[in-house]
Amino acid sequence: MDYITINDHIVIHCGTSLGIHSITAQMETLNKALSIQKTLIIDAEELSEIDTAAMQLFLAFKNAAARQNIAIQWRNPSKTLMQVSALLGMQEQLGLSSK
Amino acid sequence: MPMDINQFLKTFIEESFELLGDMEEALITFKIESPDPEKINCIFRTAHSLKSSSNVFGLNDISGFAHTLEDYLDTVRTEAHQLDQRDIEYLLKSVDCIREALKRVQNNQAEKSDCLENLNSIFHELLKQAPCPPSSGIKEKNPARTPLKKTIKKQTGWKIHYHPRQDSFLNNNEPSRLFDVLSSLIITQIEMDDDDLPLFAQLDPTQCYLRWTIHLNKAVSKNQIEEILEWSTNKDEVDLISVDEESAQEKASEPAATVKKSPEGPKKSAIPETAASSKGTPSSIRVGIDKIDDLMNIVGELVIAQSALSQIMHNFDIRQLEKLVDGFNYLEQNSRRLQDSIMRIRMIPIENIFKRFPRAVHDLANQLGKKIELNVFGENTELDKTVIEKIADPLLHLIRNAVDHGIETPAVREKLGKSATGVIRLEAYQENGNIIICISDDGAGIDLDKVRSHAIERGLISDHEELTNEEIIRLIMQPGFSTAETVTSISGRGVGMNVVQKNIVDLGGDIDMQSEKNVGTIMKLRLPLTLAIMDCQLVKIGGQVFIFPLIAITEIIQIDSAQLTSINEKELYCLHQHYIPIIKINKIFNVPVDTDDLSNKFLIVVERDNQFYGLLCDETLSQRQIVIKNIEDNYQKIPGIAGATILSDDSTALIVDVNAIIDIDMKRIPIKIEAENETEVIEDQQASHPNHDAALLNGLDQYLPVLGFVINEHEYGVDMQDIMEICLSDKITPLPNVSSYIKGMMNLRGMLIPIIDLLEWLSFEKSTDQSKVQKPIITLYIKSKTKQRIVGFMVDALSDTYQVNHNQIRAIPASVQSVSRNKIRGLVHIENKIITLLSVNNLLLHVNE
Repeated sequence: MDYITINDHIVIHCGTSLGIHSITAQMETLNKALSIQKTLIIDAEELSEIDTAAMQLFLAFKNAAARQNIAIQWRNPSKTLMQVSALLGMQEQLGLSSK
Repeated sequence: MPMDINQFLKTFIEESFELLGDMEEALITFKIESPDPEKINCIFRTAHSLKSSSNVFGLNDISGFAHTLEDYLDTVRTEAHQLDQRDIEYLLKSVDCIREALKRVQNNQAEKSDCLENLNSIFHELLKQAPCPPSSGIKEKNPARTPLKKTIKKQTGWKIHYHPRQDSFLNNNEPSRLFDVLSSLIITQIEMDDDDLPLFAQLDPTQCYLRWTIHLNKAVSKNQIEEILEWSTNKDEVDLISVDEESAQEKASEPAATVKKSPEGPKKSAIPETAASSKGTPSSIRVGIDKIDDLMNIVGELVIAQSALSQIMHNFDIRQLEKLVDGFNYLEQNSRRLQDSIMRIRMIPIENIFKRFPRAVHDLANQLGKKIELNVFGENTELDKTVIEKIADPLLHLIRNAVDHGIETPAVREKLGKSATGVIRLEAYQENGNIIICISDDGAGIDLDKVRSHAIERGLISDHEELTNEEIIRLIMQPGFSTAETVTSISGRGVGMNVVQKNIVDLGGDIDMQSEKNVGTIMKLRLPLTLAIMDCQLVKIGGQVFIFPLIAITEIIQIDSAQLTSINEKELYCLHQHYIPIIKINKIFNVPVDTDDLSNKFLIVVERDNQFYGLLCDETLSQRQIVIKNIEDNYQKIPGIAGATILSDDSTALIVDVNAIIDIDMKRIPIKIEAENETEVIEDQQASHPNHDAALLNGLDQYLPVLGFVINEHEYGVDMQDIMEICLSDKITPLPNVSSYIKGMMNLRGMLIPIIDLLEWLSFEKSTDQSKVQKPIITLYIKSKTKQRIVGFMVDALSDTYQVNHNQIRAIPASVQSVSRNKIRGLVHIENKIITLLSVNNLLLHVNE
């Protein structure tokens, strides 16, 4: 996971796999991105593997951003992300529910 | 997403095989004319369980097929349709097919097969023809549906409160696993509770703070849910609650995420990982939790004992001697309990293999147009797992023989005045510390005249040779022997009985056959109970310790010379008013004893086939449990010796094979070792090193590292790459009736290796050095294509190491006759001396001489 700043927003690239194996590094990346105080776009197009630890991290991240009035948008959430968020009953909280 | 459901796959497959075995048995014994509802339930239950559990693992083909079977069997269960012979055959094929599919999964292959697809289509067709069951309409069927009907009026579903442990992520207990497996059922709602989730800045991302409530449809049975919960979670993480209508309505009004099972769900990707993880894993035993608890308790006791002893030793003074002795007794007692417990874990009922035979008999009988009843007894008899695994194929062969050659066709049987249905009896029981497996049939018996004439034709016996019936019967164990008129796919290739016998003998057992023409055949297999630990009696014969399995001993008596007598030079002892023959083990094993006077010596009384024998020994020692070591790992079988063990002083003691001793005494088996047919000796010395070619290519092979050593003032050398280690000779136990250059066996850190006197091996000169001085032992690896053995050379002294150029190795002069030329690789001239390089791989041949 990494991020880049483009004009007035930050794009966080999830990569292909997120999970407990590198959860601390993922948290650091999200924390840094959050501290920049710009709109956050999470690009999860390539994400093919994600576990509950990473989903929980996104949930806490989303709550923190909401507290700081920072908008979060998902870009091309992958099928895996949609399935896992549905399976864990988190789609609504993460803003991933299909419209 | 990491789905660690893999860890359960192996257990699932094992359990599925068991279920299929139950289904098979129910089908084989199913009587169409009087259907047994319990058997129908058993068959249904198998299909139902396979459907649910295979779905958990994403084995959709098996699950789908099991679902079709379940639907079809439901028509039988509800009595809308009655099973007929065609159904039975299709269902038996289904068992085979699912079994094969599971084996493929086990081997990391796709479960899918034409067989599954074809049978699925067949059952779909049959379903169309079958009348609808009265209760059809509910897709998810429940094996315990009838009793559920009483409560279903109020019960509208199930609720699972799932609260994973905080350390779940770290312990690889991925919470989404539960949802994934539950998605195979009908989930109506999943509610996530993040009330405990800390603020982002305070979050420890490795900990789990979430909880869930999962709602399941009423059509899902409690059993189904519990089955999944058992597989996927820890008990303390879930609460399963039945939801009534009222509360369900309340819940329905609450906002929640609704999830429908996605057929492309993540679990699909878990399957290849699943199969991969099971590849190459060792076989396993399912152990009851009570046995594990027992082990844990004993280990706890051992830790306490060890700690108490440490404390005593730390501040030891003589007043604490009693405490020390008590501590050791306690330690000994618990070590023994630990051994017993471990042994109990290894013992499994023989029914695990007996289960396979009804099907084999059913299929073969159908194929051959025979009517056969298989009666099985003693299936709860327990045997060591290793033994069980190794006897399955030999037993199957004997059963197939009984069906093919033993039982006659109904027409022939009726002509002989027998019942049209032949009977095969398969029985297991314990006798004198052995397991006996008896396969008998009331068929045609072995035609002794035919066997005899075949043996003469094949040159196995001469025309004039007089043989007893028993000896003639044993001829069918000869390689390539078969009296079958035609070679069938079932039997008659003549390799079977020989292989059967070899397998049984390799296990330390034997096989006995009795047969009478038109009456039947009895095959009796005698197998050791276990291959690992044994209760034993230690005795001394001529100063050497020997071991008798306690279970083989009827009693031990001190000889009263008044009870001795002899007939035809055979000494007998009058024991309880019966004369029993005395077998002098010292003579059989060629062990010198102080005196031939039998007075005050001891007889180990053993029984075989209702006959008692007295095995003579000089002195009885203690009784103890021993760990059996196989001397064949590095040497070969020695007649009369079942194995060896390492005693507490690190010396080796030989275990007496009581049955073989009786056979040797009765001259049924030869006393001398038969050389193994070692055809795989690597003649080319260089080929013994797998890296040779690579080394040669790299130019590293020009020099051969050689260890030099001295024997009888001459210097020899061996390739250092063959050397395992060098140690000093220590407590070498002589072996009976082996070549004189084999000095005996030595314990090398729990491994028994033969020790070779190199001088004798090379020159056949008997070594005259009787000194007790410890000598260097060079232990070597000797390899062939299939074997790797370790042997030790006893030498006088080590000299030096050398780098020998291959060009320096000269062939041994033709004029030299005193040594066996194939033992010598060549001669090397180094530093003004000649070193004889030995060819150690040929030792494999000679070790077996």
